[in-house]
Amino acid sequence: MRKLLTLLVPVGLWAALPLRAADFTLDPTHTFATFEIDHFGATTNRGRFDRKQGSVFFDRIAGVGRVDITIDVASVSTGTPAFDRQLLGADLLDAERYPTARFVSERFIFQGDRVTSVEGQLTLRGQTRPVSFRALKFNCYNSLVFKRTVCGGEFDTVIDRTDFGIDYLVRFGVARDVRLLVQIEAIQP
Amino acid sequence: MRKSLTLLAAAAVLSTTGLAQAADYQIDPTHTNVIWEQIHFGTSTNRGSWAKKSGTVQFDRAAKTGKVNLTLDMSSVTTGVTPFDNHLKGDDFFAADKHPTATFVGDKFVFNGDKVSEVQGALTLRGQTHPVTLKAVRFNCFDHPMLKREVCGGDFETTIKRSLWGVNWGLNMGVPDDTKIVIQVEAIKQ
Repeated sequence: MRKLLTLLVPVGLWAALPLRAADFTLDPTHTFATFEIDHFGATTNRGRFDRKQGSVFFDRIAGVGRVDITIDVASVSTGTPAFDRQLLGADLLDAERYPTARFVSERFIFQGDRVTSVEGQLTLRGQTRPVSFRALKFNCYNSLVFKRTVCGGEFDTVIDRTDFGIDYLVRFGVARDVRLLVQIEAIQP
Repeated sequence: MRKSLTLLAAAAVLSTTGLAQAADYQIDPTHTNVIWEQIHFGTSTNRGSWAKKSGTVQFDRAAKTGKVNLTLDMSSVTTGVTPFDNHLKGDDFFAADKHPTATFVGDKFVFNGDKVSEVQGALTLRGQTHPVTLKAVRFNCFDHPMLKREVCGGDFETTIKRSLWGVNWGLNMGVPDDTKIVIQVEAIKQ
């Protein structure tokens, strides 16, 4: 009996819980957006946005998904309060006038049962542009914490910040390309 | 008179063009960040960084030598999730009460041309010291237009096995041992 239980445990851990079309709940503790921008050709400045909310619909079997995520721009955290304030000012993100950034997609690209990219519309500083996030990683697993299936991944894209009207210091050679790096996990009900 | 001015100018140019003598640099904490990355259930990447850090650099591009000393305040860890920060500061991970700082001392700078390509040294974490080599993703020196000083810096990374430093929590549950360290560092010539 003990042997049987031992055998069952690993199977129980990893046997797929039934995946089904569902509205997933965003896990805010494992969902973050980070920006990366060059600093004088020497290093990379980074900042993380801490407050976000959103919804995810995901049907791995049919190969369709929808995501709608809103980020509180004022929650940016670079580790340097003066840099945070500069980012939120009118020259850059202008958080007072444009307090949120939003990404909406109804087009998940699959390869087999894995999401490889997510194409949608990014609204930043009040302007909306098409953006495609590439999946660096994608996976679903059975969470022992939530006792649910969790799907998620690591995504990135590079935007030209001037497309969103963020031109500050570009004419003096400060980088216009900004990499957005996104960790996301969502829980199946 | 004109000739001596020319000579003076030449000397001034020489002294600023990189026949550079050893110099002290001060770590710029506003452009220095240490981030750890760890895979979460084979799915996404957890990240955290330390808000408080300080250090010094001696750097001699001509002699191709250098020394860096970077200290992190372990209780300043920030992941964006307060309960996670508290867990990391506790005995399961950093034991920040007993070991409030982590320090990297790098005393061997490896060059590729005039750019630093790796820094070899030792990392002290949780009271234990082990060798670590930081690989440069990129490196550059520039004249900072506002500071009016030379700034040198780079992006570096390495992957450590945290268990070497006694940070063992979750290993038996499949939480990875491998932890990637991603470093931005800039230092201002004094």
